[in-house]
Amino acid sequence: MGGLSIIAPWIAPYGYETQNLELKAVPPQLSWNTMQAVYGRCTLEQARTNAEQLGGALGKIENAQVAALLHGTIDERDYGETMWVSDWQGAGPKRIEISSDGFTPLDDAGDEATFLYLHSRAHWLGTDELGRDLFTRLLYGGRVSLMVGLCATSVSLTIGVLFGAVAGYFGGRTDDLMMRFVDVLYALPFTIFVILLTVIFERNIWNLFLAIGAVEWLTMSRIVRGQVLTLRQQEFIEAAIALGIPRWRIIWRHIIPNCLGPVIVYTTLTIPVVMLLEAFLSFLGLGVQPPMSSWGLLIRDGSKVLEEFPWLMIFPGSVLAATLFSLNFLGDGLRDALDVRISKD
Amino acid sequence: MWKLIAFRLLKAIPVLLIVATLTFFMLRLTKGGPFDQEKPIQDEAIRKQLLAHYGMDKPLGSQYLDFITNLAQGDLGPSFKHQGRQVNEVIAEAFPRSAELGLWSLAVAMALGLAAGLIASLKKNSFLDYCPMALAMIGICVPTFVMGPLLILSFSLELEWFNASGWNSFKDRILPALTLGGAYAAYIARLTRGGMLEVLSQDYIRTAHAKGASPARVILHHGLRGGLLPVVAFLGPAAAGLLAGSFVVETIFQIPGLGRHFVEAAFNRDYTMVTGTVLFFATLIILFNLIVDVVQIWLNPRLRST
Repeated sequence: MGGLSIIAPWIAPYGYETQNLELKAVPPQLSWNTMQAVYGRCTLEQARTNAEQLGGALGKIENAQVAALLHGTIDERDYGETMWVSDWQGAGPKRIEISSDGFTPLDDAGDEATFLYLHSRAHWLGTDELGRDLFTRLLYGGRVSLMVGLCATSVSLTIGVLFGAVAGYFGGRTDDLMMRFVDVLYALPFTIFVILLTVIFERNIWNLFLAIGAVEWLTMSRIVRGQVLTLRQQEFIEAAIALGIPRWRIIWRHIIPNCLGPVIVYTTLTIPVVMLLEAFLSFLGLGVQPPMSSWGLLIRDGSKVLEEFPWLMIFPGSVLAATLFSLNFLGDGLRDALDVRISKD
Repeated sequence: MWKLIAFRLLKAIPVLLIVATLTFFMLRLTKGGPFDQEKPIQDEAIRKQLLAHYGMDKPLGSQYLDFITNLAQGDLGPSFKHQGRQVNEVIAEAFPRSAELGLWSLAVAMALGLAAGLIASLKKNSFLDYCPMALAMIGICVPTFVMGPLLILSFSLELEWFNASGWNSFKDRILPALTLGGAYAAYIARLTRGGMLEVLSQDYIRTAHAKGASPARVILHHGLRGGLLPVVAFLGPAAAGLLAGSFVVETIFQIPGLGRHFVEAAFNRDYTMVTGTVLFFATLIILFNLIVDVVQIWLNPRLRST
């Protein structure tokens, strides 16, 4: 799912803002062939019989299909055409007329009209109550979630590595001061601070990255500091100092590349944490703002209409859980493979 | 021991002061105050009086001074949105509910986590190990805000065993506590398993067995004491996590607790309420960390010298 999200614009069947009000809250459907079979003109009774002959297809002739038809195949030649369709709630066939502004239901049920039967245009995971395709929104939401995961992690990576490297390299009083600062921040309730930050600054996505990144760098800086402290004792650093290489260059070219192992491992473990935080914020309504979508936001929307349309909650939830699982799995695997010990304190 | 506690409590004061100052100024830096609503207050006189009532017409510096002085006396000021009520009152009313939720969740987490972890560690590499550990992995990967609605869906809407929301009877406590405690039960199970496996392979366990102590006593008395250390260390971060989780769980189950008040206050720019709750949360977390440290020292004599 995550991989698919990256190429979302190319594979998504609909735009993420595309609404189709006739397709409100359609359950998941897997029939993706837009087959249409137009039968001749017939009366209401015949329409019913036809529908029954198609294997209970009466329920399948929905406004949804008409709407799909309107989108896909109807052009000016069809204006004035009448046809039988059934309500999506399953009410019996109704006669409607196609006109330039959509279709209008007609009352005179006695007349003949074209009987039309077609399969749904596919909404693999159904649509939400505003008629937006859930699969599409999941894909676009995945882009946001992954982007937050990567960007916020790189923000935290940058701050954490630099802070840790500087503290570790200079040691002594600088180190003390910087690490006390980290201690103080550690004592603060983080999620609360992120919420504060998102409240204070405008809720756009870049601020979200910054807010999350700004609070997730602490552990990283501790890990890097620990590594740097041991590296600093080694001969090649001494040699570099003896060669008169400036400090920042030593830190940048010699120290940081040498503590990459644990950093990479911890980074992979940070990404799921950050994504979870984003989803958490979006769930509370403090993260990504509609009409954009993110997995957290989709879960929030889904949980509001849980009783009526459970799929709106279940699919985003499982996608998020699966992604978190994969990332955690990757992180754990890398950690075991590289045999890095990350102290939890 | 007492010296440590006293020292830690002293250290908490500057931390809280920093938190208070940061939140105070950060909130005042925002565009839009508590009285800028969709329908702005037209009457300039009313507006002025409102601002004066809440002391918001003074310069920022003296507002800050007032705030700190009141804070030192334990007064968090009047709430902007809950009309005519003090932040203290709101917190005092909402906190017991949140605390109860937290305690139930912690109980769920400890009970489920310890049991699962113990069984898994005793029956290593068997079905009884893989099954709880797979469940734990699921528990970790399914966030509370997915778990909560799913539990509601299955137990309240389909099976109709519980109410979907509310906070009236004991039955109403079960689903929120499961939701919130479930994830931590998963972590605790993994930590318990890891800790117990490490401890059970040590020499003193073999000695205990050899001197004829019953298996139950070896595991519960000798084993758990060492095996629980990572779990106890985890409880500090877990408390912070439970707090954050309570925002979500209280929103899902519509429990009028402190977490919901905080989120609502954040939306409404209710400055005093936000500052008050943040400070309250910070104090709670500091206290909890302190308790955890004390318990750790009590469990692990090696830490006592330091």
